[in-house]
Amino acid sequence: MHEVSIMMSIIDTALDVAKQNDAQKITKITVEIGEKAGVVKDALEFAFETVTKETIATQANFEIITIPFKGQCISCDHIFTGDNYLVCDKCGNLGKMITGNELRIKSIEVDECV
Amino acid sequence: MCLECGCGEGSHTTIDGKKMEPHQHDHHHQHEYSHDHKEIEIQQDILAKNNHIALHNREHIARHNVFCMNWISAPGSGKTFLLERLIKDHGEKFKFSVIEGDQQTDNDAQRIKDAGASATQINTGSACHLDAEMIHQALHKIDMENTKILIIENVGNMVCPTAYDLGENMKLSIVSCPEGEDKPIKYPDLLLTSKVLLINKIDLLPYLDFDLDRCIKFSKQVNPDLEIFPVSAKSGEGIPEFVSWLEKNIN
Repeated sequence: MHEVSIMMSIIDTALDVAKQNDAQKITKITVEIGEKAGVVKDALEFAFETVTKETIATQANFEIITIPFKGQCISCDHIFTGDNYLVCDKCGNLGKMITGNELRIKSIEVDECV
Repeated sequence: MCLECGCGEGSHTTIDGKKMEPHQHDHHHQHEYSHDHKEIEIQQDILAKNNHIALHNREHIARHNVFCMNWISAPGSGKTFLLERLIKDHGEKFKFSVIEGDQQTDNDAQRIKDAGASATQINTGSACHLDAEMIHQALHKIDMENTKILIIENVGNMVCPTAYDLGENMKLSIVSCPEGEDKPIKYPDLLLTSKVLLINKIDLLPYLDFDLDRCIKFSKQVNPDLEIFPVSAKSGEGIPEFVSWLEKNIN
């Protein structure tokens, strides 16, 4: 349940960037979360409402783009997906993660004063 | 930034250490408050701030020639008991200091002090992990000159603490025999980021269906480079092997 902390980090960064851009309001926040990053999507969405309270992001849309897991076998280089993410589905040896552990703020959309 | 209209004039800039005067508002201030919609690309790690503070912690720790371990396990695996054993038997040699992370109470810090080491307690309230800022604050309370090994005992949890770099030299994970031999493959992320695994409570092996060899095999499957030490905080078995590893690796 570290989703609230994760959400606080997201909002901190979003508010900083909005301030640097003299934005009046944040209308959308987009994040990229890896399938195996250990973050529960529902819990993150739940935290969004609480964490944005009384900020300029309070009415923002929140979009989570899920980055699927992709592994590569360290023995035969085979690239694989699937649930058993440590084991190559071709030769059974150990694999390493290529994508799927991302925790990234992609972008924000703002209304700015012109 | 102008606080009235947010137009970006005026700032936190200082001249000769003094804050700039607020700008005069005699310029085109009949803003039409129409608003432009704009997308700003950020592409930044969500934990960038934490990682930045962790980097500072790491530098601070290295400057004092201290070796720092981040101990992570499920609640009840015996972290504090293992620490008590190490402090009592090897405290003079290693000059331990401990940062204790728990949601509530300073019971563990008290136990560490009673065993003979200095301890700082962090109570996270509801949070399930320590972060770099908490460690930064705690580091100010540690007598680094009289510390050789600093151990951060993280909040008992095998998932969340793994995501947060605290500035440690290495992560150490612990599983205990009653938790079951497949724990390493159930929570692979922790072992993937750990350098050492302690399998604790091996004094209970005669009473459990725990297969130690399988547990070691599962752990190596997750992380072939893992150093594994079966130990018992209670009987002391396996502790000398771990201590020799520590002696070789803290420098």
